Amino acid sequence: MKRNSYLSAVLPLLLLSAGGCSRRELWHSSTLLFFDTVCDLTLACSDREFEIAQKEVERIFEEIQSSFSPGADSLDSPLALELFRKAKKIYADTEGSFDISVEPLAEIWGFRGERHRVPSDQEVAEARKNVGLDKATEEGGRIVRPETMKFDWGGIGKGFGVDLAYRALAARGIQNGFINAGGDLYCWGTNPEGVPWKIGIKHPRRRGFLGTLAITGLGAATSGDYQRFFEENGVSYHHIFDPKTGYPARGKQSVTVVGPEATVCDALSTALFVSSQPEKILIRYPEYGAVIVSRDGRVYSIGKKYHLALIS
Amino acid sequence: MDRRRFVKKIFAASILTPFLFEPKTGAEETGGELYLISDEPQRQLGILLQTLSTQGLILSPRTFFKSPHPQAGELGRVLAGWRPSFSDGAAGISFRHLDAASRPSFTLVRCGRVVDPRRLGLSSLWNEMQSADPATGLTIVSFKNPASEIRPGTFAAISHDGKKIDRFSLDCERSLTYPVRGGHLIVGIERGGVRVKSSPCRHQVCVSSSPALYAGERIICAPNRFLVEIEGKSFIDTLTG
Repeated sequence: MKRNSYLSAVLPLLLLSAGGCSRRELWHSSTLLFFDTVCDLTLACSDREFEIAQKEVERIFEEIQSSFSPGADSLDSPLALELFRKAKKIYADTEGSFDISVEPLAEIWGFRGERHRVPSDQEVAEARKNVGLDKATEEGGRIVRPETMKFDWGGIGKGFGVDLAYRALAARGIQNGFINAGGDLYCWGTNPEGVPWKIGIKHPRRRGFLGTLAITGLGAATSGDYQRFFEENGVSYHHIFDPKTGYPARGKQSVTVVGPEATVCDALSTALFVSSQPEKILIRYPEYGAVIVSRDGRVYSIGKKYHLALIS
Repeated sequence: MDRRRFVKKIFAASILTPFLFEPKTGAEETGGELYLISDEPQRQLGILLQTLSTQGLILSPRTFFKSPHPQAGELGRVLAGWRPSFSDGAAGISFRHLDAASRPSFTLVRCGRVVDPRRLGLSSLWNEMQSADPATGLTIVSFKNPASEIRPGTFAAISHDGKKIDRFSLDCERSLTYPVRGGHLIVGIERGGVRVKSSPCRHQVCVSSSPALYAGERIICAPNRFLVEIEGKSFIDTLTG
């Protein structure tokens, strides 16, 4: 009796796995180095298809990296125009909390040069004169900006690269996988266990995770004060600047955004980190939700609710 | 049904109470239990586990039988992640016979708290079961707390320029030196995990990173294209942050 029930339970599983093998779709993973970080690619496809897919993702990331690296950004390529339009829309929607023209601030705080440093109030005021994306426009197929204005695409470029890579892979018929460029990610289909992808959210202060998201067909991105920072005279200064003050935004430890486009998640995570009214911003983005860790360590979520399990 | 009535009903039923307060034996760290009163658990358990997994409440729909179950055959057919024996991260299924027949229902107890089925989006299954005949079978699924799945790793791998160049055990304290652009990068293996002790890079992000100890944790030195990663299967698929 026992043996019978065992067999009847195992047989369908054997048949199922045999069916799976005939399509020769297996899970493949690789680690790529782009955008000064580690990018992970995990896909369910054939060996041959994975090779092609990886090359395609490398090509896209290479193009994004060369088009949007600080100081070397092009102003008239179709890619630059497309991302500029997206950045400008999010700039308007977030009342300037997300602004790609903060590059002069990153420079005076030493995030581009040899050494980090705390600039004088006067230097900050001077640099802020060159900040404000409303001063840049698109004219005759190119971006026109004041000569002293510089762009930092770092708050939106990786997300854009992930979206482009996903679209290319989906067009190749890859139905399950994820692309993660240093925490800016997009996942679709199911994970190897046949359920939605489990995304860990890094704890901004402790080792390990704040919680997990179970999502699919969605992007996610995180901005945190712990990602890039330096200390001077016992005070910590991080890399996410409030364009309105020119100083690192102080209200939160981290913001993770989930929603349909990785590009938007990437930019909104910065905007919500900077803004004092993040709920107001998400009214304009009803398909997006965020997990916020406040300055005092309180964890709360706003906007659209996705499947989040917090780890106690 | 409002939450208070639901909880009251479950506890007042006095059927589940002995199980809920039963002392845990052994070192098993349970994150929770799903109690399913039904004589046809094969009709509900698949959808229940799939839903809980989808919502991130349990690690995965993988299960195994901790004790003999009268519907083992039928359950094996409907449970997608069923395994004949214990596997890591899987939930254990056991069975009890109830002395008195009770109305079919399911209850999720997570971290000591009863979770409202409406929160799980399972109201229709709940309502359907409420109108079925009384049952005497109780199926219990015990699953782990995701936090207890975070375990220290035993090996770390080093990659440089995208190529794996070293792999070492974490069990003895020492320092390892690797040549990189502009000098040497020193990796320290200590009781608290692996850390980058010194690096010739500009901003020292790797040196100020917290030590890596758990499976899947990483320390990256981007300027040197250098990566330290703790090996082992993590309970998450990927990470943001």
